[in-house]
Amino acid sequence: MRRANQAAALCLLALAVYISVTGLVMGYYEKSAPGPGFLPFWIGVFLGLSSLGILWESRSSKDASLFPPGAFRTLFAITGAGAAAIGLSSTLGLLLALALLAGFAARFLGASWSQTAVTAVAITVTFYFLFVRFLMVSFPTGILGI
Amino acid sequence: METLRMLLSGFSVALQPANLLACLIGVVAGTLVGALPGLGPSTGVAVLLPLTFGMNPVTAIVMLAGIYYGAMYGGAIASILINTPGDAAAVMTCLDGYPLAQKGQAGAALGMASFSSFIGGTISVVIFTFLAPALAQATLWFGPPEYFALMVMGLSTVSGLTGKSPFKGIASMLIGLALSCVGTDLVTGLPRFCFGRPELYSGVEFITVALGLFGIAELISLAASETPQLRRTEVRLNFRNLLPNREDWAASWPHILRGTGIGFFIGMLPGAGGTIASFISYSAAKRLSRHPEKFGEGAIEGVAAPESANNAASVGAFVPLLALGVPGSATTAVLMGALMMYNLRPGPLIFERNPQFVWGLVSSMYVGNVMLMLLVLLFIPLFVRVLDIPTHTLVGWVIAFILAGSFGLNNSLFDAGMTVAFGFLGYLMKRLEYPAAPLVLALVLGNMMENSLRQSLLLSHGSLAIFFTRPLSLVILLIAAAAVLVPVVRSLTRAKPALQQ
Repeated sequence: MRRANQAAALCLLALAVYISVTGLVMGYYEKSAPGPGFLPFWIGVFLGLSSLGILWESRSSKDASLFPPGAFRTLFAITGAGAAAIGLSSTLGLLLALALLAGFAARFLGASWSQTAVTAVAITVTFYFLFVRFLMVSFPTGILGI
Repeated sequence: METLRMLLSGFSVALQPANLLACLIGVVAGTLVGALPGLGPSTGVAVLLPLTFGMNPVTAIVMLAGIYYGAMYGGAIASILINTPGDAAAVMTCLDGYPLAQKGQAGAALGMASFSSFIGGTISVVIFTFLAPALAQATLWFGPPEYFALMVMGLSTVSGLTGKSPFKGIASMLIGLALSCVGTDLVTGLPRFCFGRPELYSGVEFITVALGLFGIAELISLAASETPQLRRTEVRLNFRNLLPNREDWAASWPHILRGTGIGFFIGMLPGAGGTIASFISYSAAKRLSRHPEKFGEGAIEGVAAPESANNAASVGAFVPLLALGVPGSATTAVLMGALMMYNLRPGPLIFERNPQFVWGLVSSMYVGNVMLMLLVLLFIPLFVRVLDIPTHTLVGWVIAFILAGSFGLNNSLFDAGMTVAFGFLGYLMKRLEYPAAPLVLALVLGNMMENSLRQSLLLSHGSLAIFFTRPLSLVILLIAAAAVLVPVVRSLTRAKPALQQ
């Protein structure tokens, strides 16, 4: 936990410096009013102070893992599949890409092949009627025309 | 008298078939989502927001409010039947609800949770009806410095009080503020933090962020937990065994009334909300009970007290949202974002400019509370079935629904991608104990806060003294400073002895 907290605090500190410097570049004050960089500059300053506070606090935290076993695998699998579905939606169509994403998530989390197939098909049908027909959202279509 | 007249006109809006249907769908969907462990009201409102696409604003907000209090009740179902709270506000309900279920009294516990939620919710709506317009009237003269101070107070209390570390809460809030700066600057027209992406010129859509932080992050958390599939206590539920008996009522009613008062008051305070309200209400009930030893062993009043408080808090949270335009919790921040999506700007003027909307919403709360109680009593066996849905199916459906909703907001794949990215960030934040609520709240309030700050400094020709020479703004800023400094100093002094040990 200590290492993770320290790493996160250092990332925040770097982000704080970036925000403050960019704020100054954008313009801190213009004539008699704050410029577009006024608020970002102070956000960066306070974020930097908070990250130093987190660093200070982390000195007394225990060195135990914050993540359950397999957490990163699940995190990368689900967000990776989400990103892939979005990337594929211009080729496959969003409806099909979302069905594949749901199928993948179900299978990854232990569903049988038949449950996976049912999930994917049910999502395609439900989302078509709910989003495309009822809510009139125009999903990108793909090579199959859906 | 004027208030009652407006309330009656509100009922004519709330009782329109479309609004009744929206309320019904909202209450049912909210109860189902709230019953799922880990998915609380903020996740429920964010995830189900796409269902309101294309609706008129009143109908949409009536549905979202229904989702909110439905989810507040839904949390009790998981607490009582699987000893896992649907959301943080339902934690206290586990303490006596689950032991009651193990003793074969799950029906009485679920029934008492429903009745106490109904009583707490309804009394709170009555108080809200008279208090909110009066508060809005009193704040009509607020100028930019007071508004700025109010928003600073909202953000600082939420960041200081949420989570274990005040520094992490503050950092989360500041990240939200930084995200609110993304987009074209309204005064100069300069693009800020856009990295050359035209999609970012109009700013970061808060719903995109909320769907990721609350929705996807919670799903990953559920999927990655060591016990993703929980077994519920087998219970026989019918209308008869849901009705609490005379002894149950005798033991519970004072705690319900006290819980309502505590809940409504705490709900109005930024950062506190249902979780703290239910905790205080439970502690007070235990302390004042003639049989405190029964608490934790399956005391029915141990269910009544926190449930009345957390539903009362959900109504109380509407007071600052509608009367001041400052949401005090993650869920009301999501609701405020939804209001803004429909071009409704909460604040004192909303009572004058959009009376139909405000009073329609208030009236729908009365209707929704009755609807919630009846639905629970009649269909609870169906609601508890949601706990039997396998995690793999649930995650597949909800993640696809979230991405479809995120896309549908602006027909933008970029938004859907952002949701995934914020889901990734949200999970890391959750594990590292950075609360997400301050981030979302700051993102919603950020632009308004910056505008108030700039307007104030324009009025004062750049002098910060304007915030400290106006009494009300000074008092509010002092409260805000205390809300941040007290937890910060406490945290620093706590870290020191721990180090010495």
